[in-house]
Amino acid sequence: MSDTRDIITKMIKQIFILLSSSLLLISCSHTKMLTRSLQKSKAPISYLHDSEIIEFDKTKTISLGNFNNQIIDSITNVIVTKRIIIPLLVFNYFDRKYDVSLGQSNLDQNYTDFFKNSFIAESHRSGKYSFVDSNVSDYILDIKIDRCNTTSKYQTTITDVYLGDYVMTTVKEKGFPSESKLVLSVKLKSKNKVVFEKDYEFDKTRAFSRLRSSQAYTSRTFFNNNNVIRTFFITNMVETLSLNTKECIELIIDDINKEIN
Amino acid sequence: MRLIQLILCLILLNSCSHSKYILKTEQELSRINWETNKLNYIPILKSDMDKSIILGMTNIYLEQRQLFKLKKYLKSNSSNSSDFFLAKTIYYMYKTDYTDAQKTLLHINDEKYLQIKQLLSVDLNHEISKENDTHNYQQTLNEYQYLLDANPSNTLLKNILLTRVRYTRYNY
Repeated sequence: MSDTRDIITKMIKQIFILLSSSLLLISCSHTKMLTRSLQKSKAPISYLHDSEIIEFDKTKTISLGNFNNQIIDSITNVIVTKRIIIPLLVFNYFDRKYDVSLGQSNLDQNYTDFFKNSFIAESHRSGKYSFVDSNVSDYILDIKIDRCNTTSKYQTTITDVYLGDYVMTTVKEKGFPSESKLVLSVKLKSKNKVVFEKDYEFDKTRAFSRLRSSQAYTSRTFFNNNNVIRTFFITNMVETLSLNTKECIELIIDDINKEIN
Repeated sequence: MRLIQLILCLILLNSCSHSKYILKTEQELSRINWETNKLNYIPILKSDMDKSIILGMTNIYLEQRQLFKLKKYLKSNSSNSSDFFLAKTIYYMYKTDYTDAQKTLLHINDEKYLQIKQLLSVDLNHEISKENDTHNYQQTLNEYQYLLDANPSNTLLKNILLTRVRYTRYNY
């Protein structure tokens, strides 16, 4: 009698270990899949320049001096921050929260180039100076970006219900608002003398909201809802970084205008 | 039979509610909260709408989501006026038939519709290139930028274009 009980206990233990390890394996592979999927999405970073075009006698010239490269991580990082697994024989529940940090791989162009090009374009619009390429200019501007990160949270919930030979699985994915932080210092030099120096810190938060259903979904994407959410999530992060950079550039140019005129 | 009619009505209603571009007078658009807005609007002057029967009727049919009636109305009121071609372009855009909308748009010659023609031209280029998988975000952005710089004092257009760029960004 006790032998039978031992065998049953052993079997239950083995089943439990097998079930737990397989669920853990599924959970890990899902994280990898999500990471790969998020890293794959690319979103455009350029923005619409809507500042006032200044008609000014632009006699003074400015050129760009030092500008540090490799400001943001090369790839987007996804880290699991919270994991809840409820493994039952007829019902499994997985709930995971991720911290996502935006990397270069999700941008459609190099961030450093984008920053430089946007700065030049904005200088031509609202700068009270002429922007020149050569170093033979009245002023040289050094920009050092100390920190540029855009982060957000992502959540996935998977529910498996076993109905005899069938499994009913529901997957829900959710994105949270993204936050962009940009810390940089600017030095404006004239004849090797610093005439203006300032540290900047910009923060921008943008809610993750789906566009109106008719705008968001096309017939091709309707049945692939989670992929659409992931793409929109990454686009929201890139948009936040884009708009934060826009505000940053506009303010720097405004400060330079005040300084040199 | 009634069930079929109901299904057809639902399909028709559905096709109308899925329009990505919405016709509104500039007066109505002045009440929009642009901070939270996500919709693409086609702006038209209230005076133009009041003067043109065809544009006025088009607006009424579109507000009531009666595309089928609008089609019949446009068919029976066909003319060579820019008002008619603008109404027909908007009708095609509501139907998401962007190729026909682009062909019709070319017939609008009246100077007063120049700005709206330029705006719709960029919108249609974007939609058609998206359909053909040849979409280029940068090109669309440049075209909207050109339109904005050509009308620097137009705040309404600026708000409309910022929404358009956001839409293009998410539909890249």
